[in-house]
Amino acid sequence: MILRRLEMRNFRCYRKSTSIDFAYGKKNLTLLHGINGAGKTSLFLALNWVLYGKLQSYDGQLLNNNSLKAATELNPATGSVRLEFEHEGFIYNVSRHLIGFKLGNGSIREQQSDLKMLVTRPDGNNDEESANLIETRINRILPEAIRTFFFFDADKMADFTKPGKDRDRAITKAVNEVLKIDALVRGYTHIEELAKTLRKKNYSENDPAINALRGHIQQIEDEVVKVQSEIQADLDESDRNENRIIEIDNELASIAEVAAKAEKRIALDDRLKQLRKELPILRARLAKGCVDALPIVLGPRINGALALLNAKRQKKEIPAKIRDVFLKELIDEASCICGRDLLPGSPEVQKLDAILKSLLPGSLQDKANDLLFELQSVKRNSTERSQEVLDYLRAIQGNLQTQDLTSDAITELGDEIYGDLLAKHKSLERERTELRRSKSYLDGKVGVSGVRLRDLQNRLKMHNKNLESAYAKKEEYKLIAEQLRVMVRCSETLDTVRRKLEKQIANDLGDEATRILLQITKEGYFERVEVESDFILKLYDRSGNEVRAGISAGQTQAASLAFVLAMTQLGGQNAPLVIDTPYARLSEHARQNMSRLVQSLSNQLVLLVTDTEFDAVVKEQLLRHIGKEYVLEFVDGETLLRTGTLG
Amino acid sequence: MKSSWERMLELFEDEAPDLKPLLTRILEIESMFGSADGKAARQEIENAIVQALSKGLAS
Repeated sequence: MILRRLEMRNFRCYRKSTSIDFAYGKKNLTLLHGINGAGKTSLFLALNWVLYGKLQSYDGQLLNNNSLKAATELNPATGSVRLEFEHEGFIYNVSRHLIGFKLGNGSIREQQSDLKMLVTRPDGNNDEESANLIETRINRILPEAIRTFFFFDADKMADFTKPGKDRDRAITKAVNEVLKIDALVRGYTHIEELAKTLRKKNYSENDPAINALRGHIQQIEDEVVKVQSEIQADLDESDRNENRIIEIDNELASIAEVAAKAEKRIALDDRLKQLRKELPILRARLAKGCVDALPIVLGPRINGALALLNAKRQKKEIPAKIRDVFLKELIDEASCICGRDLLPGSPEVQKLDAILKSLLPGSLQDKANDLLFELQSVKRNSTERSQEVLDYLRAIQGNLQTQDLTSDAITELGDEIYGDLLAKHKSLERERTELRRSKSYLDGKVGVSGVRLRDLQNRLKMHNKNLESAYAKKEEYKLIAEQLRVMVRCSETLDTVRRKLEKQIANDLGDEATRILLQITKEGYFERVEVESDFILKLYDRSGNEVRAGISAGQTQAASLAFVLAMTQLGGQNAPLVIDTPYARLSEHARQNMSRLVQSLSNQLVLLVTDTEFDAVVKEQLLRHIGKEYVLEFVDGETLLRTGTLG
Repeated sequence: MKSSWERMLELFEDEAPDLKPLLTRILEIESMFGSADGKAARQEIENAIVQALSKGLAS
C-alpha cells in the first residue's frame, strides 16, 4: 500500500479544501510539522476515518466548528475526506462524506455517508466498487485490526511493557493478526469443523459398525467440550485472579512508600512513648544518685574539717567565728573541686592552701595538709558515684534529644499517612496471598484437566481413524474417507506449522525488537528484549535482570516502538508507517537515533511532528529522506497547510 | 528478514510438500475472508479440498 494523496474539506480544523501529496519512492518521507494544536491529529484522524469509518480514540464531532455555526437542517454543512492510494498496481480512490447541522436545542447532529471507492486497474480502466465489498477490500489491503501498528500515535500507543492479562491477550491477538498466524489457526479450526460434519453425514444409518463408532465419537466429543469448558472456566478464573494480583501489585507499589512511612511513624510514636516513660525513672535515679554521691563527696571533707576545727576550738586554738567562715569557704571550694582531681599544685589545692593559711594559725598548717590529703582520698572514692550521676545526666540529656528528634520526624511525616492506609496495605497483602494460593490451585487443576483432554483427544483421533478405515472399506464411502484423510493431514500440518512458526517468530521478534531498541537507546538502560511464545514482551536491563517496573515514560515509549516496528518488519505487510508525535517522550539522544533508524523500516513514512520535536538534531537526520514537507499553521480557528522547502 | 508468510510456506514444504499448494490456498482463503465470514471460508476450503482431490492429490 502506498499513500498518494489526501484531500480534506470542512473536516475538523481543515475548513478550506486542503490536499497533501505523499512522498514515495527514493525520498519516501512526508514530514508534516506545526505547533501543538495546529492540526496534526486531525490529519491523522482523517486518514484513519476515511479508511475505516470508526476512530479508536475519538468519538467527537468531525465537521468543522465554524461551518456548523450557520448550518440548519435545510442548509446543512458538508465535509469530506478523500484518499488515493496504490496497492499491487491498482489505484484506489476512497472517500467519505459528512453532513451536519444544529438542532433547535443547540446540539449538533452529524451523519456520515457510506464509503465510496473507485478502482483504477493496471490497464487504466476504472470500476466503482460495490458498497458492500469496499470494507472487505480495504481489510484485505490493511486489516483494520492491525492498523494501529501502522497508523499510530506514538504518545498514546499501547504500553507493551505494562503487565496485565487483558493487555497480554490483546497483544497476542494483534501479533497473531499482523503475522498472519490467525489465518493458520482459522484454517485449522475450519478444517476440523468440516471433518466433523463429514463424519456425521448420515451415509451409514444401516451400518451398525459405523453407527457404533459414530456413537463413541459423539460421546467423546461431548466430553471434550465439557472438559474444554471446564478448563476455560478455570483459566478465566485464574486470569481474573492474576489480573487482580497485578492490580494489587500496582496498588501496593503506589502505597508502599506511604505505608513504609506509616510503619515508621508508628515505630516513632512507640519510641516516643517509651522515652517519655523512661524519663521520670532516669530523673529519680539521678536524684538518688546525687543524694548518694554528694555526702560522699562533701561529707567526709566537712566532717573532717568540722572535727578538726572542733578539736582546735575546744583547745581554744581557733575562734568560733573563724570556724564558721572557714567552713563556708571550704564548702564552696569543695563544691568547686568535686568534679576534678586534686593534684598537688593544682589551682584548687593552691586556693585551698591559701584559704587555710589565711584562716588558720601556723600550727594548724600540718593538720590542714592532712585535711587536703583526706579530701583527695574522698575525691577518689567518690569518682565512681560521680560517674554514675554523670551517666544519669547524659541519659536524661539523650532521652530529651531523642524525644526532640522523634517529634521532628513525626511532624515531618505528617498525619495523613496514619492508620487506614497501613490497614489497607496489610489487607491487600492478605488478599494477594489468598489469590496466589487460589491461582496456583486452579493452574494445577487446569494441568490435570489438560492431561485428561489430551487423553480424550487421542481417543477421538483413534476412533476417527477407525471410522475413516470403516468408510474406506466400503466403495460408496471412499470419497468421504479420502476427504477426511486429506482434512486430517491438513489440520495436523497446520497445527505443527503454527507451533513451529510461533517459536521461530518469538525468537526473531525478540532479536529484531532488541536490535531496534538498542539502535534507539544506544548506550541506554536496556540490554535485550525477549518475546515469549505467546508474544509477551520481556525487557532486560544491562545487568541482565528483567525489568518489571520503574521505567521512565521515554524508555517505555522506546520499548513499545521497538516492539511495534519489529512486528511490522516480520509481518511483511507492505504498508506505510504513519506516526503521530514519534519523538514525544524520547530523549534528545534517542530522538537522533530514532530519526536515523525509522526511515529504513518502511517503504513509505509519514511523520506528524510538533515544531518542538522537529529540532536541529532530528532535522539533520531526516533531511535527506524528506520527499515532501508541509508546515501546519493555525490561523483564525482553522488550519492552513503550507508546502515547505525541505522536500 | 523473511516475513511470517514466507516462513509458513517454507514450513509447509518441510512438513507436507504434497499438501503445500492446498495449504497455501487454505491460507489465502483465510486471509481473504478474515475472521468475518467463517461459513464462506469453510465452503471455499471444502471446494479447494474437493478440487485438489479431483486433481489427484496424493493422500
